[in-house]
Amino acid sequence: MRSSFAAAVLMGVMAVGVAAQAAHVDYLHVEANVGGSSGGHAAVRIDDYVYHYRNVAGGALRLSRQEFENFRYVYTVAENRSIRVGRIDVSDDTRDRVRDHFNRRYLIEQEHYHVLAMQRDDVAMLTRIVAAATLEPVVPARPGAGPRGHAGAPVLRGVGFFAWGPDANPDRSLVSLRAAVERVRGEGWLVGRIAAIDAEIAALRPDAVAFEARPPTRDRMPIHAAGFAGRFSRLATARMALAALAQARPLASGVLLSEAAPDWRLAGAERTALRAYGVALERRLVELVGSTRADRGEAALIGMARLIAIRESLAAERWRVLDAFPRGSEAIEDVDHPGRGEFLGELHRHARSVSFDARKALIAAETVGEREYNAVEAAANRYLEVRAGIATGRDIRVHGGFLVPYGEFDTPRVLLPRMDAEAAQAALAVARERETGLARSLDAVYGYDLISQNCVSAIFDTLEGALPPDEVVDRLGGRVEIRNTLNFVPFVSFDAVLQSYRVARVDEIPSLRRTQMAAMYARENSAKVYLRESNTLTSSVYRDNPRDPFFLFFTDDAIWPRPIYGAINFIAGIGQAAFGLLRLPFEGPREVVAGAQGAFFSLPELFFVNLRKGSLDYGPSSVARTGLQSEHRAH
Amino acid sequence: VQWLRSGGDVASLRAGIGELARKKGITDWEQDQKTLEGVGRGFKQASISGQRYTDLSAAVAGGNLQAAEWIRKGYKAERVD
Repeated sequence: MRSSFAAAVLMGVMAVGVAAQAAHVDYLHVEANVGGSSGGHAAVRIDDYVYHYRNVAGGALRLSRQEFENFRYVYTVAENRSIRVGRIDVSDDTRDRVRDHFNRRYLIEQEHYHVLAMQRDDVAMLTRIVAAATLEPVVPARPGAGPRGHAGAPVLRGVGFFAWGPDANPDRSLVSLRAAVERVRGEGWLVGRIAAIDAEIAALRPDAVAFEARPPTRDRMPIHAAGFAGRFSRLATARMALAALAQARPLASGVLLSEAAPDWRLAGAERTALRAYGVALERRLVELVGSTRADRGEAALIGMARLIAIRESLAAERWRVLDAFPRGSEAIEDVDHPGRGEFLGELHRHARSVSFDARKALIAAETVGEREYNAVEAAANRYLEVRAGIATGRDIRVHGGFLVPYGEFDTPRVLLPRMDAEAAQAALAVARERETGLARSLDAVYGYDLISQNCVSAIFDTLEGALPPDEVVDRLGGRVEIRNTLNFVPFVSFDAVLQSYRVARVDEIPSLRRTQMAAMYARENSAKVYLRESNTLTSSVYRDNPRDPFFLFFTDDAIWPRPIYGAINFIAGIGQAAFGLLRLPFEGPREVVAGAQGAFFSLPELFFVNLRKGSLDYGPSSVARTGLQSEHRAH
Repeated sequence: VQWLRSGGDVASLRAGIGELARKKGITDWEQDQKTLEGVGRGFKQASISGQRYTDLSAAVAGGNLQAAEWIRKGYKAERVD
């Protein structure tokens, strides 16, 4: 099957940095744990990426594409679950087809939900416009609806870095940039462009007809244009970028982060690199503000804010970077909790090391570009965040993936397109109908089903669907049938893979607890290790995790005593729930729930079945490098 | 190609590239070599050639010769059997 043009081009961008490796596809079975993972989990690894389907909030089965090391950490360390790996020998061509098919489906699915999000943004923005037109109070269409959780006005990225008050003094870097722009484009160009964008915004209207009329499928990229809210926010961001430049707006108070420590001073080579990047950035900004690309506004705003940050860094001779975190970032809470000391210590060391590595890479770069500068900026943000959290005890913001400065700003009502009340209400009704229709269609395509569409059946549908039907057996060694079998169960599916496909070897990545206990058994008295590590009270690996149901004995490595331990766990769970009931007025329902869940998950242990492994709030990376135990199979 | 025939436009493609680049830490993707080489590889994977390649490459590069060169480099480096 050929990829669509858009999927193929975007797959090309996604493939940056993926090196060719020996041809194989790994089938992964993650063993069960309590909660939503009591049936285990399944995934496919190709090269450095893992593809797996997850049942997410709202009842959809969504495809995840995750770096292997990240996947391994989450499942074997944080969730303390072992992973079995069946390595399927395939040709280069088969490996490429399977990888491309997973990537294509991933992109298409992302695009479908992106379109849905755009339609929800349209509904929220039209709700706001209707309210403005009828002077009704703004009520979100549903809890949490609207662009980034606001009641209608899109959030403009990058605009929040600047001070927009009436008494802000002009910033000299932007005065200089404005002069450079006017030299190239003529005096009055900025004012003229702002007026032109204002006219575009005033004329902006929702699409009269839906762009994509065909129902969604997993294998076809949806056709769409930018939504009403999307087009508005890009225009408004571009307008605000030009306004920031025309008025030479200074940075808002508190958006620059720095640190007084001596190692935060700029080294000589860093000064040289920063100066050179600043010159190149200013030259680029002259081009960028005149660009016609839709997302120019955000790039220009972030570029201008960085230009000021670079100047401030050079003036102070120490690093000053934009506060890059988005609003509502996830955060590490309870920083003062004594049990978190080791974790925070390691986080601090790691963040510091990454920060200094990024600074070294910046100096070593032949030419400093956004990639190198952002690496320093993002690493500095994380490092300073950890330092501040440890020093003050406040929550520590965290952010997965690349951290590009957000600088969010709520759209002022005055910028919104004006529509008369009747037209706005009619457009809102259409937008709501489109949104609910698409949500229903996506439920039909991506809806989770325990048997016919779960984490296992979707994997095989994608894996075998990547290949011509009459070549599946030749290319993989066989087929795995899902219908009318128990192969939809993760651990059963792993055995089916071993029996059906051309599996060359079987490996196991042990859980963190098993890895650490193996090391302890090797260097300490076995009985002592067993007694100490068999229970949650004296274990040196496990620390009380408030997210775990209450239990006393680990049973994953205790086969024959499992029913006895299970009975003790059951009684302990009931006892904890009863104790929690007494403390309900003071402690809330947490202890009751933990006790009841603990008792419930002890029941399988009475019948020699282990689900619960205990999970970790944190696993130190020094011991998280779990080993790989292999059992090679003959072809 | 099917996507373009069905009404998809280059502006949407550019927006998609921009969103993906942001996830890799890049806001000014028109200046980023790795992103544009990736676009070139994508053109090759999509079997874009001849005048269509010239048109699309120019549209994505937005008149920037260096950007067009990086797209070409990615296109040439991509091996399609």
